Amino acid sequence: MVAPLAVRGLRVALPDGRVLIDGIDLEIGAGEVVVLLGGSGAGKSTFARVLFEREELEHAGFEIVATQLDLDRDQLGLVPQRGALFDHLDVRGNLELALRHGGGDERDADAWLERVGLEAELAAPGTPVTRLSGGQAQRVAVARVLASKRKLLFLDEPSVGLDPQRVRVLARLIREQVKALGVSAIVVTHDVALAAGVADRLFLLSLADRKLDQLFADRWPGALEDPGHDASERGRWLVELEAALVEHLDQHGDKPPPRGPAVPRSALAKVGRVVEPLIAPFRVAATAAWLAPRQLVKYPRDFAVIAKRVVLQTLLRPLVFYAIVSTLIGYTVLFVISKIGGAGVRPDALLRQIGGAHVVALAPALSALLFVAASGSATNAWLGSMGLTKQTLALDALGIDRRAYLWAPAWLAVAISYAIVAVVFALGMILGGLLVCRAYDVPHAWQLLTGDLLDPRPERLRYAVRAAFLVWIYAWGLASDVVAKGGAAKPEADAVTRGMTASVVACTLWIVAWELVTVLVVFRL
Amino acid sequence: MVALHALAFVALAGRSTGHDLVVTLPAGTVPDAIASRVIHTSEGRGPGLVRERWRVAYRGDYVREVGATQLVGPFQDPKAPACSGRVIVGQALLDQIAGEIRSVIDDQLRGETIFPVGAYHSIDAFALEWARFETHPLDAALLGTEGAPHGYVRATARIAFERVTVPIVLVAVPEKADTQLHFRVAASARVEVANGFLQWLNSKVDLTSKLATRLANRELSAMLVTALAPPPPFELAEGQTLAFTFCADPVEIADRAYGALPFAVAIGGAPGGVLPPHIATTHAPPPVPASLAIDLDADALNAMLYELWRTGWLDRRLAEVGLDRRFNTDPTVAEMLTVRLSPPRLALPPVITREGDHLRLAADGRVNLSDGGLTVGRVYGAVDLRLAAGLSPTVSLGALELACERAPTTLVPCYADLVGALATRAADFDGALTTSFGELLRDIFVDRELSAGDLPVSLRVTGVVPTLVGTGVHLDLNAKLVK
Repeated sequence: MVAPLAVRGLRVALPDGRVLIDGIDLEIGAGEVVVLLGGSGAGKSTFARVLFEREELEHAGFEIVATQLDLDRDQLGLVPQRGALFDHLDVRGNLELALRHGGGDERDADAWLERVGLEAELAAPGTPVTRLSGGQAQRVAVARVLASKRKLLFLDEPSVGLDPQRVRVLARLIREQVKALGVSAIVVTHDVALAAGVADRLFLLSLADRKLDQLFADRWPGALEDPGHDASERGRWLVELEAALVEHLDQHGDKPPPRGPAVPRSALAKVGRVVEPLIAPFRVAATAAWLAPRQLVKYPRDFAVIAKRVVLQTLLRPLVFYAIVSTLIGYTVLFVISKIGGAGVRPDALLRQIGGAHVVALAPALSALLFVAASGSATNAWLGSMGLTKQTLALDALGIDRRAYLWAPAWLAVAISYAIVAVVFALGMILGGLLVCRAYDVPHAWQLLTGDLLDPRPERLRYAVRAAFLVWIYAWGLASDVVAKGGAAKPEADAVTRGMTASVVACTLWIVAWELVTVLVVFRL
Repeated sequence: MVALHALAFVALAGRSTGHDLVVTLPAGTVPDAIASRVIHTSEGRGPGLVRERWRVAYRGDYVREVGATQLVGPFQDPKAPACSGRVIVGQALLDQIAGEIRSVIDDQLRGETIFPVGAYHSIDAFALEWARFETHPLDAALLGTEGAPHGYVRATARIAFERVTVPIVLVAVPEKADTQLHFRVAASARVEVANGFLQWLNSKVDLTSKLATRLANRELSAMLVTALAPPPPFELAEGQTLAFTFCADPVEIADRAYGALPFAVAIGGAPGGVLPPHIATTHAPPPVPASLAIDLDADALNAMLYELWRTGWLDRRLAEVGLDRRFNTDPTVAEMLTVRLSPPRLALPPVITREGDHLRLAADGRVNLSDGGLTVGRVYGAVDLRLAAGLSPTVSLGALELACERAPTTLVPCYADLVGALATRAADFDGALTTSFGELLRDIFVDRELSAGDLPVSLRVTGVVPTLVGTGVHLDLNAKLVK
């Protein structure tokens, strides 16, 4: 049988040359559970990222070299720290998503919960994942990845936050499922009890030489939670394992990673690194536009879930805000115009000259700027937090293309939401204008204010076309930037806020640039 | 992607010019793209200025409109001008004239002794009246074989002499030559004396003829001609005149009511063969005037306007009014607008038509619009005018429209909002014409004093009350004889 994972000579260096992993040789057999132990900074998470996010790492400047890295990515499943359950879905939704994309039957969600020792009631529709305890979340995460029919599970610190009893329950669960389903597992943990409980083999990511050393290679009795190991044996091994680990950390815990030569980067790569944030939104636009129709047809439910969430964030929640602001702006602009003629000038004559031109001219830009700050930031933050909490990584690990599942519907929903916001904004400005017109007894004010939008005179048609064009280009432009920056890697919380700020800046520049370009084109033609 | 969008927008904006209203003359074709929403109307069917309009309405009460004006016939014939006006002399004025004539006769006969009736004492009961033969069949001998089918002036008097009082009857039959009016006069006197010898003697010396020749028939004729003749030519400028001529229709006389002389307005030819329209008018009997009245039907008014236009008088008047100067130097215009106007010139003669209870004066002009480039604008204005006493019209705007010539036969809407804003100032344009025309009417027909041959009196007209009659106006003049 082909090993689910075979790694030889894996070397990983940071962009500055520090070597985090300097030679990992690891082969995992079918039905085997391998535990990777190591201190903080030993490279455990880096090893996980090599398996799941190699491209992102390389893109970030990491040097990743391996003489052999045999991995069927489609068979690799992940249980991230704290489960990383999808919080836009309920408990059942998490399982159904995995089943749907793993070729399973969605009606088996209850059974999978029971399989990991959870009550079937948790599968009741509407049960939010935030109601779960840490242990329950971990087990749901395990159930989710098992339901996706992955053959190699990667469990990243699965016992974080669990009490000793729950750690043992989790260990037994892992062992049971591995045996039952014939899958293999890599468990990365600090937790000695969990490691001892589940490991067929134990490895230490050494801080001494940055290599992978097998512990107790010749005498490890196997997973201690398996039947046949008594409490005394388990206690003895726990002590010994902990002692070995502590001794290693005592000796090498403060040893910084060796520094090699900085990873050379070509000029092209440097340029690419600078240009990448500029290109990313366009790549998102092209990808999302391509994938959205497919996703809508193939997984309409998934599409609807994401789109609904995004519409809620970008349209429904701030809708009243937009309506109020636009009405005030519409009123203010026309009120100022009505006064600008000074003494002796009839305000209604000025209002008649203006008609709805101010709406046509201002609504796209003002609505876009407001949308970026309010709605765009909301979706940006949501996508960023999904990355930060490894939910996007979990998607990858379920074999779900985050671009199709997340980006495409989010992109389309943001774009459509903006278009609707632009319309709402225009209506708000018109409403504000109606109030001014009413004050001056301007007849047929509704027709007057909407004329430039609905039936523009020939010389003003170009302005209406410009407005429609701007709404179009702002819609997909803002959506692309929001999704690109929100969906970018979020290694830490600050990256989320950086992404939001960067998106507001970029979108504002996008808006201003198009305003200027279109104005020049319209008035020079 | 950005570049593609930018290029796409340039292309899109370039195509998004909309389909403005463009009217190609003379067929009046409009672009197919907007043909379905163009409303084509025609105001008036002629004769006169026919205004065709092509209109597109946009939401918000914004309208784009192009209009073209055409002068439609039939037209008046300069070689045979139609009878479009008439001078109407009322019985009252004739009574005034009678008083003056009596004085003249009295002066002429005073101190005279005519054999055999003796010395002249006085002339009594001198009267002039408009008469028809039907009511005075005894005048047949006086009227002779030619008769007076359209009526005549009948004078009667009683002349007292030393020995006898002689009743006199005199008839003056108006007759027209080509360019002159004169009266054919005949008189009869019946001398009744008791003495048979004197009766015989009278028959021998033909006293009747003697009296008839002494009855100032020359003065009478001159006075009647003065009152009844067409208005004298009116000097415009540079030797140009507005002339009135006799026309083919006969004098109309109503028994003891009035005598009316039809006349025409003399018109000349204009470049391009433009002529004033001829509007068929049925002339009803005029209202009986207090003293003197003038009827001017639409043809007369339009012929006068035509002559004023043809001779350049109206353009000069417009230039004097300085519409362009007033517009260009208007503080609001000077400060806020880039468009400037040249002096307007009338492309066609203005035309007056009767519209219900008022007259409508329509004019089609050209003006150069300077706004970066130079564009020829076609201005059409119409004002509704109501004539008040003294011929001072009250004016209200009927229409003010502007279209621009993209080419001489291609019209496009232009400055629609500006024209709309200026609509309240339309009286500047047509009002100047109207006021000038009113003044002209007053100068020609009202403020005048006409002498009557060698008589020491003249006919002075000092006031007017205009009313609308038929297609034109009826001017009831306050006329009296003054010494």
